[in-house]
Amino acid sequence: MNKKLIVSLSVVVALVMSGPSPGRAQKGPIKLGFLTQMTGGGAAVGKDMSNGFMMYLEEIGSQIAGRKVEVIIEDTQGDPAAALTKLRKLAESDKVHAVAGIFLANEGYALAPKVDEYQMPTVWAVVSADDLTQRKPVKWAVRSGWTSSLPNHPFGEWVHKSLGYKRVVTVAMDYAFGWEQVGGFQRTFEEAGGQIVQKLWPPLGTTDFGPYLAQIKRDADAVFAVMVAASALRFPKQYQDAGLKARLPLIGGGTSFDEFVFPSLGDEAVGAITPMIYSAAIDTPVNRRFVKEFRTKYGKVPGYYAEASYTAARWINEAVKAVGGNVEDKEKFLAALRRVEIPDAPRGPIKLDAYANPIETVYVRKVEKKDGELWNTVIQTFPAVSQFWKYKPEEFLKQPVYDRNCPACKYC
Amino acid sequence: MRLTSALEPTASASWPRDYGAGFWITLPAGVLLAVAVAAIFGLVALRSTGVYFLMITLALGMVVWGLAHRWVTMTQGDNGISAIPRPDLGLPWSLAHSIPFYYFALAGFLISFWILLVIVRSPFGRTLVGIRESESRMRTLGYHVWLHKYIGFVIAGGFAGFAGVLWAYYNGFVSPADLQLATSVEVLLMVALGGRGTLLGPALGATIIVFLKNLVSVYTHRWLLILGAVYIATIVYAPEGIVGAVIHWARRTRTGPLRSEA
Repeated sequence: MNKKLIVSLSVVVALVMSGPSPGRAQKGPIKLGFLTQMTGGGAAVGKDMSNGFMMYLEEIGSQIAGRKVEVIIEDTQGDPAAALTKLRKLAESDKVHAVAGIFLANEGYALAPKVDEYQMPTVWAVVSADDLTQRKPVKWAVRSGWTSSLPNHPFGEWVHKSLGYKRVVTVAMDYAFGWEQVGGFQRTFEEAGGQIVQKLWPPLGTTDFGPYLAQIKRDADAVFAVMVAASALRFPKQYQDAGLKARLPLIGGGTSFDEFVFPSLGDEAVGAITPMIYSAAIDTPVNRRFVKEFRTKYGKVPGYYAEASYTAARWINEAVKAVGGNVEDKEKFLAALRRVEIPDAPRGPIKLDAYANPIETVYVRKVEKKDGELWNTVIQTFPAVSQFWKYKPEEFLKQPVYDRNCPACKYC
Repeated sequence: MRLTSALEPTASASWPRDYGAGFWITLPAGVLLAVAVAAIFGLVALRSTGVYFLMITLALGMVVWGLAHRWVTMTQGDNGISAIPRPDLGLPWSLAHSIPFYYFALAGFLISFWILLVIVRSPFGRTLVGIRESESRMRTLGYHVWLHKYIGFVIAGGFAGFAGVLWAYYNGFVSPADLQLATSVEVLLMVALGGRGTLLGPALGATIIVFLKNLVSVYTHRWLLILGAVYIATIVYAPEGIVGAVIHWARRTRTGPLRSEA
């Protein structure tokens, strides 16, 4: 098999070398695979992701460096095994040149080894599992999104200093994303002098939060909630109905109050404070134009899922341009993906650290109602935040990745 | 049997990666573990029959899912166990590539199918068919009905375990998603769609459902609608499943002495 492979490879190389490459007619379209969830609990998120991605490509006329761009959107069904099947299809039958998208942490961890096996240039647009750019780096992938704990490092410190909360209860979805969001928050919040007094973990897909809400310690100062997709639609209402909103202020991870859920939420969301790498309310010309255009096209305010996918498409565009459209040279294309810097994304400036994860702005946002609509008003910004925050990368990486029991709950 | 199919990949998954165990260790280990779990679950589930039996097996499946989800040190929780290498059997073809692995899995399927066929045609298998048709009659005839059902359950567990080993190697990844209720129900639907009480039926049902999931979803994001329509059509027009319907039709038109056991 290997021998055969070498023979066929050298034939390909010989053909490429001998062919009159400059001035030759273009090589056909650049094929991109976009993996996201189009059915099930995360379908609304998946729709925002694919809309954002396609919107950018339409802006540039679906052409990069003189080559047409074709996108194949595949449904991962929110299931890591299905995500693998789809990646296999994109790599083996569609022969795409790059893959982008990916929503859930477990999908990211499942795909990571296959991405390297296929040597498939990949852009993690949304999936934020910390270790994909920390302890289990993926050679063939870069991240244009974020790590789950990134916005929560500055936020934890800020909550203690600016809001003055001392005792906080966390309620988070019981999987890597929830663990890492809580872990990042807990670490800096406790280092600043705060205490996490209780950690509750409803499983992904929980519809009734009653049993968890009933357990919340009423003598805390605030509740830190991490909700994703469908749960973000349900939690705030149930929190209010349980009579907790008036007693314990709600703070949390950015996805709990992403713009994509706002059309379905009302006053129960008002006042919630969350950190994120994006807010539709960012007051820059680039973002105002992005929000306006997205609204015209898709009839809703874009959230972070849309922005992250939009910027991922731009990321690929920049890299393809840098290699002059020659995406067939995978090594060069990958190197170009790693060198991309975007000074003016809707979310602000982005560049990669040595671990292929963005250094970007973190926005602390408060949900407010303006003209009958909910917005994430920015109340504090932290520019150029790295996934390692103020810690030295080597020391940060010596600690295990955040999980359900790490950092331990010392004050529970 | 449905639960064990998903339970056992955990062992076959973590062992090769963490302890360097080869295929000839993970295969029997996976099958034996599945048999052992089926032997325990069978004791609980077979105390009831019909719908209650079904519900208990599904409930036990949820227990295993919960365990996989929470026992993070063993299963990595929701992240799943990834980077499981394909087995190296010392064959001239590397199973790392799709096509050799396909034939490898096909060989596994054919061997399993043949063994199951032998079992079904044995006196033991005939007794099971008899029990399916009428439990009370078989009991009256002096058969130990419970024991036969129990052994049948355990055998099914073993084959499900074998499927699980192949599944783990195929994807190089297993996670609690393989154990969730939706996955168990999907297996049930495969059986219902293809035709219960037949060997060919579930294979046909699995082919159709996997085909719909993986291929139709390429062309439309409304593939669930099509899948749902197929289920409804099956229930209305072929309550015995596709193979069951074909057998019925063949019997009615007397084209041949087809028996429902194959």
